[in-house]
Amino acid sequence: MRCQRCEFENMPGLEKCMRCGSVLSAAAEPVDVHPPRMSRWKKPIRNLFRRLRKFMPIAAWSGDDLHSRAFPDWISKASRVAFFGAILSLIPGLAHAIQRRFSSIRWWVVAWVVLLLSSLFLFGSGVGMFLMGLTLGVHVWIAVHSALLAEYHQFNYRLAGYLIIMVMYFILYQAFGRVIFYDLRGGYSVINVPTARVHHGDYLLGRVSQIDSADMTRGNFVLARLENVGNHGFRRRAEAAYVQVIGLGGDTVAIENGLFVVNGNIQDAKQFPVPTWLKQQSFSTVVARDSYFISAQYRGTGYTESQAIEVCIVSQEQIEAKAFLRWIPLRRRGFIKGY
Amino acid sequence: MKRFTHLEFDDTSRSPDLSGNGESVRDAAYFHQRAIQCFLHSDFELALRNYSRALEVNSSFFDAWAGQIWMLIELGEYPEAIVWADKALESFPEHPELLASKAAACLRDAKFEKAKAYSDNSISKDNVGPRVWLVRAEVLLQSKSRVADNCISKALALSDDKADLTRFEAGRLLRRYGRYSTAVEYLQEVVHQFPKSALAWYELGYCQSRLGFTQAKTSLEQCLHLHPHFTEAKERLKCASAGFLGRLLCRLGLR
Repeated sequence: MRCQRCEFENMPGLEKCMRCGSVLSAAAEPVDVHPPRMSRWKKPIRNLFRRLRKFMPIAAWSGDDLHSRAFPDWISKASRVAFFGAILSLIPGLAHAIQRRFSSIRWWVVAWVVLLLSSLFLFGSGVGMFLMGLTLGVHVWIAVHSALLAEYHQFNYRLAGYLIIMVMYFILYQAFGRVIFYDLRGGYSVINVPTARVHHGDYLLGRVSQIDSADMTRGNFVLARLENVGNHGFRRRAEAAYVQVIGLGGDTVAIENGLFVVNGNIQDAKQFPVPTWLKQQSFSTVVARDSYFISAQYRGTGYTESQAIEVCIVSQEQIEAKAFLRWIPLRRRGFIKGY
Repeated sequence: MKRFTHLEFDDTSRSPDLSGNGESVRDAAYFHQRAIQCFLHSDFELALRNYSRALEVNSSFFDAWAGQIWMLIELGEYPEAIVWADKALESFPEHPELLASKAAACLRDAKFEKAKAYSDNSISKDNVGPRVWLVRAEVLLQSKSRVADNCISKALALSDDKADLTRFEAGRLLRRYGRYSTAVEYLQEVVHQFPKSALAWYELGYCQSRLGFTQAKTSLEQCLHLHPHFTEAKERLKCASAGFLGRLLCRLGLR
């Protein structure tokens, strides 16, 4: 069989030319002469990554040290690499994808997505908080894995890098949370209202956009900042908690025989329950405009009348959100109807 | 009508006959020549298909294999170019030009270490052609080495019958790495040789506009006259015709 390239006469049955190594079966078998082509959907993705690579820092970070002269000498390659790895890994797997080794981290990215969704589903509960912590940990691991591990080989350096990225990401998680869920505020209820199926310690979600006085009615659950109303303390450590609105601005609120009386009307004890510490009180007060009379369960007893009034009346500025959803516990998850 | 856009007819508007006229035998060399014309007209897709047709006629036609790989590179399909170079290397093992093509594909796909290795390999072979030296120059330009100019000179010295195409490639290479003034020298010779090549005019116009030369407008207009649908040329012409602020934004890459 004659080789098409070097024209050497080979023994029959050989697949490759003895002299030059060319494939001999090329002439006998039909050869596919149409090259593989890029799929249409891949084109924008590849273009995006090429554009990203054009940026100097990413080019320098891509493994070779070609563009090191673009950076000052006092910034070591390891620092540069670790920094850009951490920045790019804000989107988990992006740094790996640019480095073309996404497959090495793909299961971690899947785990991150699953943990994130689970933690959001259970957010507010202890398990949810734990899962959120794990999500953060996995995310930091992805960032560390992208570049830092390859550059720093000593344990203390790696640990320091991990902790620094952990703090950085923790701050960013909080910032992202605020931006993405800008209209939502979560908080624990410090009031027990059976008719609304809201119990003490439930995690409620509220909307920031619905705290205008026009939207507010008696019985609403509102997230109130209570740090300025006296050093009485909540059961929970949070600065803000969900409380129930009893009286609006201009209302006269009184407590008589362990019941709320608003503008002379006795309120239903199940719908507007009086907290234990207030049951011992007996007073009447007029709620100022742009203020609310709220009901919340506090620790301790023995407040004077003026202290009790000071605790119960909050200004409009102290209200952060109006609750619309019971989030935790799961068995009572649902919208708060009629409140 | 989109499904019919890729049908191939003897459409002279898409593949202008730059070299001459007359009846030709439709052999591999004919399609190869047409592919080069399409390339000069910046129609890389059609050039690729012409190379494929050349291979359909003669599957052992080396220039068509090499051309296909280069057209894939020009189309930005680097992984596919690498795959196709591997396939070509099965038929032409250790061919320096194929190794160089693979190196170029790796280089443009930001795989510098691999590109360097393939370029080293290609240059160590016998009978090294001009393209091998051009790829070597590209590798060296990427690493900001001054020896790149010597490689381009070597490539030009080695190219006998393809001196103009090599010069064109050298000009494009230098343009890609921002060496506009040197690129202009090469490209001006190229446009004299290929006055109907839209791509050559575009490359020249691009370099001239980056250097702030007023001739850029003429070159780009000439390019658009030859190829009215050349998007990049239209954009570059907008930049070249813009005022001071527009040009400044173009310089900064913001427009």
